[in-house]
Amino acid sequence: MKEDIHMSGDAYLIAAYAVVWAGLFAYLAYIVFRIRSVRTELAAVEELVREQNEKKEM
Amino acid sequence: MALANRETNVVQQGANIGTRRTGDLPIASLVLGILSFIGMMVSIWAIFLYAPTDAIEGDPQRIFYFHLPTAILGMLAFGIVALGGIVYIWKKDERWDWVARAAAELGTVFITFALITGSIWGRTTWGTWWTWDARLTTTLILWFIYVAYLMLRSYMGRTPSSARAGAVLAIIGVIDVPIIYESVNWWRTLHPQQVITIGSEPQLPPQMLLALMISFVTFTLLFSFLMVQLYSLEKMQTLAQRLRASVE
Repeated sequence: MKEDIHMSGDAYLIAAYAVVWAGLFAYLAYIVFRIRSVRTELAAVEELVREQNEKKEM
Repeated sequence: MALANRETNVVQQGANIGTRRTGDLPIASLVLGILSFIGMMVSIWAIFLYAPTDAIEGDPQRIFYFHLPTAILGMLAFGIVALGGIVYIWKKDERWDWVARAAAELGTVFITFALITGSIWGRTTWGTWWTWDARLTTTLILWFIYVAYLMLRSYMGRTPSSARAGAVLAIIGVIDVPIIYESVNWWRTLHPQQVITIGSEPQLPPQMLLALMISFVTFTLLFSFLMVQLYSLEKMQTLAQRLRASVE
């Protein structure tokens, strides 16, 4: 009976660390995804602005 | 003419960021990332191999080494949100608003981890996932304040009025942080009291204290690393929005 209690305690310990690790990795991946998409968007809009400015100068 | 100047300025800013973009991660970010990774490895060793097993709670007590740093940083992050808000209102410098937004997002993540790990730890020691204890309840209130802040900022967009409204919410909301800290002293709670208090001896054995300190330093490094990433993200998003507006 005592062993069962300890085993379930270990399971909770593993669950707690798994949640934090999985959560941290997922969050890091989400940040990387957001940085990549905003860089792509920024490059596209910069190009658009440059084109527009060239047209104005012409 | 003013419009043209403004547009040129925006394009110039875009060009600057574009140039910086090619340099990829700034050196501070890289150093923080590497230190966080090394710290995480050392923390795992300290938590699972170096720190002794608690005589009463057994192994589940080791949840404490992640729970406490995430909780403290989650609370400190709201202090940064409020500070960012105050300085923004005072100086009207949008960089402080970016700091506040970044800290709010990160604080939400950290306080969520603290609530989840605390709930799991509570299940093993108290036999329940949740109880309306003063410390737990005030921390949950902070989580709701964070969510309210993020929803407000998301709804109002990247405007000066959004930054002001966010700053006001943060200044009012930060009152909850000292209440969380003192809740275990002010009320009779199930949650244990502070194990390390200023001006008194720590209530932990030295090995446990060292493992906790290593974990705390590691999470602080990780927090700083993520703050740098989120700050640059906020900066780029604001610039992208401005450039888009100048084209439309």
